[in-house]
Amino acid sequence: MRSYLSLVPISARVHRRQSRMTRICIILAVFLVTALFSIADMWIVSEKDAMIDKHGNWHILLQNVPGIETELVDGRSDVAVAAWCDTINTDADKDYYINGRKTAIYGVEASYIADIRNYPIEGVYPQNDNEILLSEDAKELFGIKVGDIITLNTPAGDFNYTVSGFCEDDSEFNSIIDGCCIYMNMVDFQKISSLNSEDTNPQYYIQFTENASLKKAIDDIKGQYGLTDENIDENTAVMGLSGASSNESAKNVYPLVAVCFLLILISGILMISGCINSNVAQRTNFFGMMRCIGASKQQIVRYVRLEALNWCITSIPIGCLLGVLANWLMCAILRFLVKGEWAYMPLFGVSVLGIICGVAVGIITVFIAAHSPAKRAAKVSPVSAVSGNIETPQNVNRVAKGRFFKIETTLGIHHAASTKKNLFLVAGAFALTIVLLLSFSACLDVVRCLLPSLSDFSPDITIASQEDTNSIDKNLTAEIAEMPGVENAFGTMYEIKIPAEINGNETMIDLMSYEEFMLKSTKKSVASGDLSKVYGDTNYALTIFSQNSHLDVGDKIKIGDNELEIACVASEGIGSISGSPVVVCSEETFTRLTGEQKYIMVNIILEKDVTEATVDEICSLAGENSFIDRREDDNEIKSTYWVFRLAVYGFLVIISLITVLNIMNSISMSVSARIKQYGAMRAVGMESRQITKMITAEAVTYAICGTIIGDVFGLLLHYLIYEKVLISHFGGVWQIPVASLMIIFIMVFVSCIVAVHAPSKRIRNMAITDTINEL
Amino acid sequence: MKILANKRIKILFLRIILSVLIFTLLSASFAALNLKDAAIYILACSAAMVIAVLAVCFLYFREQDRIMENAVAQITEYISGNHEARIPCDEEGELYRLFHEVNSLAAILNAHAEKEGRSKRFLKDTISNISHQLKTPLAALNIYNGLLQDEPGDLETVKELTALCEQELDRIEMLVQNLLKITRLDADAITFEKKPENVADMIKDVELHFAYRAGQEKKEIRLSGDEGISLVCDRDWMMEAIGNIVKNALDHTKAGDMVSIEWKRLPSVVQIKIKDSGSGIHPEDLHHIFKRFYRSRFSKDTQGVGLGLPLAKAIIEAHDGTIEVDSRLGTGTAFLLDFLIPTKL
Amino acid sequence: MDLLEVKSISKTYGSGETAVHALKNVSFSVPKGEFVAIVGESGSGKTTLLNMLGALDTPTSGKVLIDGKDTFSMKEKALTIFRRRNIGFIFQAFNLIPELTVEQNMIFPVLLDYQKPNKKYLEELLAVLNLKERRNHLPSQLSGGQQQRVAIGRALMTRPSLILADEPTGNLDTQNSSEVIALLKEASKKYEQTIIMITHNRSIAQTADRVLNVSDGVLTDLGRCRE
Repeated sequence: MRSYLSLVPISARVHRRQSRMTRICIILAVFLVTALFSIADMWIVSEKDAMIDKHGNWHILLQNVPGIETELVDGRSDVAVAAWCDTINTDADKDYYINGRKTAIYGVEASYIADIRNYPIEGVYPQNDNEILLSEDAKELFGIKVGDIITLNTPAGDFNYTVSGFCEDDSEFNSIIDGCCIYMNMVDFQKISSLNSEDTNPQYYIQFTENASLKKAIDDIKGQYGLTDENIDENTAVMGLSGASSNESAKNVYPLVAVCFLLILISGILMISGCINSNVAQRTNFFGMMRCIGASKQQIVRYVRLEALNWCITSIPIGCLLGVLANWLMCAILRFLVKGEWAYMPLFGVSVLGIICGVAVGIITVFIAAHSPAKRAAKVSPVSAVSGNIETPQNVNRVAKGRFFKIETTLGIHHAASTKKNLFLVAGAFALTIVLLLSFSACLDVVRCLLPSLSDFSPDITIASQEDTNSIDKNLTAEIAEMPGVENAFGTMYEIKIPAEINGNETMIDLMSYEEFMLKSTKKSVASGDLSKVYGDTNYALTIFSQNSHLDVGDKIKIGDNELEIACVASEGIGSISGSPVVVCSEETFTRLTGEQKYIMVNIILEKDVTEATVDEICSLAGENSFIDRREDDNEIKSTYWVFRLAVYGFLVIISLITVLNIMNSISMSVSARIKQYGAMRAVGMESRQITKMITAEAVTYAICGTIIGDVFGLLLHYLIYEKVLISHFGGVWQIPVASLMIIFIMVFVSCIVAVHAPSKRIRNMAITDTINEL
Repeated sequence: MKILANKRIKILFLRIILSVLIFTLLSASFAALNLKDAAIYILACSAAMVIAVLAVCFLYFREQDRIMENAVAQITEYISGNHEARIPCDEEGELYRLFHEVNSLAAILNAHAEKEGRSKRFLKDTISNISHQLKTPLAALNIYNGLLQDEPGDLETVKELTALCEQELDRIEMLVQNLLKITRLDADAITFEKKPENVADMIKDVELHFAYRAGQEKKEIRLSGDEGISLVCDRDWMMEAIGNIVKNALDHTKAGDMVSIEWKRLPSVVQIKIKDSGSGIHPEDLHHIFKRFYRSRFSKDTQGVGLGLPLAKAIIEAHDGTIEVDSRLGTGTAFLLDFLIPTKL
Repeated sequence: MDLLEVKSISKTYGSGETAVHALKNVSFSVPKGEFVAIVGESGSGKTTLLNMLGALDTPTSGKVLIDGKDTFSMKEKALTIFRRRNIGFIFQAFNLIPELTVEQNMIFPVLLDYQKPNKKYLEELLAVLNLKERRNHLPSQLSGGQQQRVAIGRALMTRPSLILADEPTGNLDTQNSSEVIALLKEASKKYEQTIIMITHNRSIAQTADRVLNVSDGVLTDLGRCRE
């Protein structure tokens, strides 16, 4: 043994069990930070990949610079790829055809296709003259393959080319121009261009290397060739993610992550500090003895610090590993299950930044957290080793004569109430968690309402009349409903700006019909009134709550000679188109009032395993009407909502964990401080069961105080959020969030049990004589 | 990192590191800001750093010098006679360990000096004690001699007087012998011939020595213990010690009482217990019975000089042993002798 | 100058009606190399007195001079270092570090002073204390007497000028008690250590050179056993 600090690893090996709590906290903090930073990093990478895919892997392009010496640009060490690209007929309004289809003509260098656009090629880039590349969909469109000869019809004449390959280019663009693209080398392009007297604008695309300082390179090139800003166009999407120009999403992510880092740091420090404190409090005898045999205060502080850092050695790597694994899991989930904008998340990506931050968080939190317990350990007086007395307790108040409870419960309550500071901290932590839980659940409800398409009858496909008239036949609905893969098909009839009299006032309303399925689905969002009256041909209608309409149950609406009474108010539904209040009635009532028989819109809900063939069939059935496929959008919104929900729940879990740990440590420390008393009580005849009851009473006191305060403030906040935000915008009524309260109750219960378990086990296993000292 | 335990050295290093750091930062900022004449500024900074480092070192060594001077002053002070002078040494670091050891040295010297003084005083006291003790029998002898000279013819008186003289001479002899023994023990002038001796045999011999007297006084001496136990000691001296204690026991018991001698071997000591069921020792005397020439006022033994038990204790302690006494008035006394078994090195 | 000089120490707990006078005007001095026993019944103030001597507690009045230094006028850090180098403690409850072996326990205070333990001295101590075969055992593998011997070794390792023992045989049976006392005595003679031992067992106190009696906070010198 070379130094007194060599005791630390020896002691750590023996006391693995006691330090388990602390090590778990360290692992948790490191895991959270690593996972968070890794996911953020991966997200940035995925965004970059998405951008590159969409817009191309280039940073700047030079245009209107004739005679530029591209070799010099090429030769620059910070330029990775540079290629020419020239275009004709990208608007598809000139007469360039292949087999009757409109064609856009691109003159490109090989590197443009391969490195800048990253289009996969089937076949090869044109090697010889009169060879061209065609876009992928041309294969099916014209029924040709590699090696075939096609004819390009231009205003100046027809040209034959051999197809050397197909490239998967931007199919969206192709469907917009309803044609295809043809890629030829610069020589052939020049030929076409000059023959057709096209005034083209060749662009020189430049992709810089990874390590290039983009700003410096751009300024350099500008200066070298005397270019102005007009000559240079930046690919903001890709540059932004490299940090060279400003891009909104990248900018937003990092501050958010930094804030989370700070939050985790602070909560980590609190958790770990509490655990180490509790650990130190159980070992006052040891520290007193150290002081007696000559350790100075400084040496004890150093000892406790080194102990804490020692735990880091095993905990930090585990935390980092868990973080990386969680990162992989999250990426996999986002990429394969949630999809949408997350489809580009890289799998098995390791974020170095994440790991470094995780390690930093681990070391910093432990270092700071060990400070206060170290000071406390150093304060232990050497006398405590000689006589075994821990510091004499502060002024002890008289215990109130508890007539309600047995003496052990009264004592427990007294212990809890005696140190005001402890009571404040622990109850406060409870209250804070409860308040946060309730307000976050209210916020989640708000978010849910904000996202429009999450209701039950949000459709996957909408077929709408092109002219906004009720012109779609009812049979269409029936036909579509029969198809396999279709869950539901329903239609709406709509009439806007009907002059009506509401309670005597002349105004306008929008009248809408709901068929059976839609009425059933509205049941869930009924704010007041009775929905059943609206079914069938009646004089009752329902209204959708909105800020502009203040229709309520019982209001009478006169349309012409007919009178409708509002029987029910719903908070959700198809909104108003013209801004007038929306009145909804059954189909029969609608036909009776307006005489319309056809739908203006048919909404279709598909089953999960629907085939594309079915969708195409529906599309063809739609005929002249507009066919809108909402599935992608829906998915995106849903997935975003879920991600948001997960994040919030994760945050709440962390806060709850801190609270639970807090109360565990408080109880543990309070028991350690009174260990002699408990020993003496046991010696005079108190059963272990009664001691457990005493400790439980202490824990429950903290819990009850915290819960009461937390519930009061939490419910208040909940109510406020509902009033101010939810009800004013969406209607509805505030209800006590029973589910949240149940969760709170369970959490409090579990934390009490967990907090009491370890100390009471410790006392039960202790020999009575260990704690009583002779004088 | 032991050197850094010394606060001053730690501060020295910190100051040097600080100056280097400041210099590096300043130079870096000059270089980064691309000021003109940056080179000159950096040069000036480096010069300043060197001066700072030198200054810090100078301060440190000056402080060290002062500390050394102070220490030397204290040592000279001590040499010139102030035996209370000490060097302040309550800080961490090797230098202060040195001072601490010097202080310990001083304390040890002091202790030796005092021991010398005490032995001198002790010698003086002993001599005066001896002379005091001898005075009485010598005076008696004088008287008897005078009487003899006065009446040489009276045979009866001569016989009586010579018997008395013999008594006194015996007394003087015993006294002188005991005194010499104890003084030589104190002066470490005796070399014990320590050999492994069988405890059972030794004690049996002691019993034999007192058997006659015990029989005469109708007191029982009982022995018990293992035959095989041995103790490294000087036989004669050990028997003398045990004998003195047994004699003391016999002196304080009456007819019918019992003196028992037990011996046993414990893992690291050999224990001999001498118990008697006699009159016991008064608690006030308990702490003083091993003092020289101590005569208890409750003691009925007028013959004793008060050297038996102190001599026994001195012998036992010279054999790396301890002696304890437990006694209750009226019930009895027990003497416990423990001898450490020396381990083979 | 005596190694330890106690000048009119008093210690009072509480005030007014509930005042408890643990020590009343205690004075004595101990020269270097003496083995002193302090006896008294429970609650007589013995442990309080020992705490004062070891500078673990401050008296209400009076001072304690160890080797001429007034321990209560020293600052906390200096006092710790002074205690580390000059005072050794032996407790009734052994107070060994359970995770360290016998040898490591003994050299621990030396390590606290950033010193390298003297190998020869360590071997010698182990021999005298009869712990050579047990040098690599943990305290849990030792008997009470052996543990106390390790504690004695630990106190002796730094060669302090003063050793304070609080009921060193309190937790031991008679066999072990005899051993421990014999060892203490030997150490006192061999290394010229000043030992102050608290005990309530008056027969053990006999082995000391000098006995002091504390009764109700008042100290009486029962005299030396060896003049």
